[in-house]
Amino acid sequence: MALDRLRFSNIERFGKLVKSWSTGKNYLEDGNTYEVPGDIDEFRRQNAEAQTGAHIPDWAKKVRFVSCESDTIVIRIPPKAFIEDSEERLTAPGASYPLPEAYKQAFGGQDPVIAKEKMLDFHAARIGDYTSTFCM
Amino acid sequence: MRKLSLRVEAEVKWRDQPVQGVRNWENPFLPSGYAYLFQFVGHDLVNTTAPYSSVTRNDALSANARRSAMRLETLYGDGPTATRFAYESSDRYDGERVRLRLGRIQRDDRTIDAGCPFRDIARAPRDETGVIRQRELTEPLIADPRNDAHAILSQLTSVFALLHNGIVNGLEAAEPAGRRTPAHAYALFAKARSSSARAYRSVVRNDLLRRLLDPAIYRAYESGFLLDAAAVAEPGWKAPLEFSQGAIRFGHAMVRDEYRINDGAMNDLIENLVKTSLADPQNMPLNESWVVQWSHFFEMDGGRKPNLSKRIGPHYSSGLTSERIFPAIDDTRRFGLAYRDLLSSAFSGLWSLRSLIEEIRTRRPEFVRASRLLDDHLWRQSELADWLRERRAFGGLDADDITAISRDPPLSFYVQWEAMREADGLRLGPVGSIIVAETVFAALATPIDEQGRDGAIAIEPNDVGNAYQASFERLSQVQTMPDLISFVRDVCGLSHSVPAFA
Repeated sequence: MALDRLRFSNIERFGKLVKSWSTGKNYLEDGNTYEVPGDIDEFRRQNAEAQTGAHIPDWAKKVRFVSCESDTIVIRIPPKAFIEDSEERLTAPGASYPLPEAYKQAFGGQDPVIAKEKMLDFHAARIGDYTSTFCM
Repeated sequence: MRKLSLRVEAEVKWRDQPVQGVRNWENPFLPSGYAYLFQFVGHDLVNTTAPYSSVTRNDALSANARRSAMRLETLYGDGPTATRFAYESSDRYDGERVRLRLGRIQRDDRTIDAGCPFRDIARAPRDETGVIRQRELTEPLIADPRNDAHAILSQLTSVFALLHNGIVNGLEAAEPAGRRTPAHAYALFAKARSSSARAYRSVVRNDLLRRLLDPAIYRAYESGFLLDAAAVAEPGWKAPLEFSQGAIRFGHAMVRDEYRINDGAMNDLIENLVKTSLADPQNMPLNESWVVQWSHFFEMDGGRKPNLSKRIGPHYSSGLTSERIFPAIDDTRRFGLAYRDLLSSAFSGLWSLRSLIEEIRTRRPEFVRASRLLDDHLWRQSELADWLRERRAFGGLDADDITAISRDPPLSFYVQWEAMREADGLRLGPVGSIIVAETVFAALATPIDEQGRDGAIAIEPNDVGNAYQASFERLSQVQTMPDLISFVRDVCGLSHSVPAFA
């Protein structure tokens, strides 16, 4: 059975929620107050209020927030099971790369065509990107 | 309604599954294809120009314009003469048309070649600006454009178009070669349509409703009972608002966030929802990754486990909260489908739940006695209030809100909540079952074609070419969606289609 994943229908709004947690300024401009949640229930509630369209899988019992200083490099190591699950999905016949809709919209609306032989390279590039990039 | 729509964002705590290998929120008895078949049936019963959530109560735009129910009007429109664009052109009948139009799919690398099968609905570019943009297929050439609301539904629509075309194939095979008169076209079309509608009705009655409804209520309606039989006998019967603006919305609760589309593609719900001519014309027609292999949506012979519907409850998949697809429609700035469904149900003048229950009690008291939620108003209110209080942080419902909602819940919400409470989300509860049964069985009791009930336009053995005889014997026995898909596969020669058809 493929792994159930954390996902957001409105990824931009989740981005604004993270910016709100980081800066203390409400980027969602909805009159609510957003502070870094203390537990998973509060994380769920804030996502509902912020309308991020979060799907938080049942297996998630805890959430950990990593606040870092500007002189510290933070590399998030993903769980082994998730990397293996992704590799299995991406190497299956006819697999497509599930990029968030925002990328497609930013590049003229065309569905990205990623050649099968480039799929795992792209996967590695994405992991390299989101584990190393600070807010860009 | 805004607060309630936030309350239902809290995920339902389902009881553990009795079936191994099935997720807690999945319904092991309801493959996902039935959720979309029900949506297609909904379009065949109700056709409003604009959704209730966006118009006022008496606005003409919100009237149900569907003139005949459960006759596949959603597929055929007004037929080949009046809805000409939805039909394939042909020289055989002096310009008259008999087949529904389909379109080629494209490869995943966005190329189209002669080997790409006609497995998508037909689509065309727009030209109102004076410049035809060939790559932007903005116009679905189907009778009811709502059937291009997402890729799975447009694929299901193409199955019914293939069903009709396959029957036409068999009928034409028995005719002499060469040109025929328009009268032949009309007769052939009428036979194919009537036979398609009969197979469709059989699937709805024997498969879809049997799976969705409370078993005792299904048995009562299946044996001919209707609460309001007099209404059906009147000309111009239409689906009641309690169905179209209330109960029907339970279908949204069955939608998953991710689907295995075919052996080679697993796609997100949001991608599915934007794979339409309206939202994604530059990427049309559908490519191989969106061509549905139906054994992933219904229980076909191969024993493959299909995508399973979500259990029915007061909670929608996250994809249905997409701002892009379901933007805010009022000053609350609340977006998503749940809020729209609540508005439609709360403000379209439906019977209150309590009145509805009392009406059912007068006509069929045993239905009410069988459920304490129906029989005991105070107990139901208290149970509803307890549930609303449970995750109060979601939406911040205060005591007055909880009292008001538990006394007079929006029907769409109640039907979902009741399914969770009374049936563990595996099917509808009593109120939902009665509204759906009363509507769909009533529609099934209306004449299937202009000639009279049960289809006077029948296909006789001599009407069908020899090569099709064996397949057509199975057509009259179609009872389930897998039966129908198997027939289509054989009669349309799709056994070796790539991507696989079933």
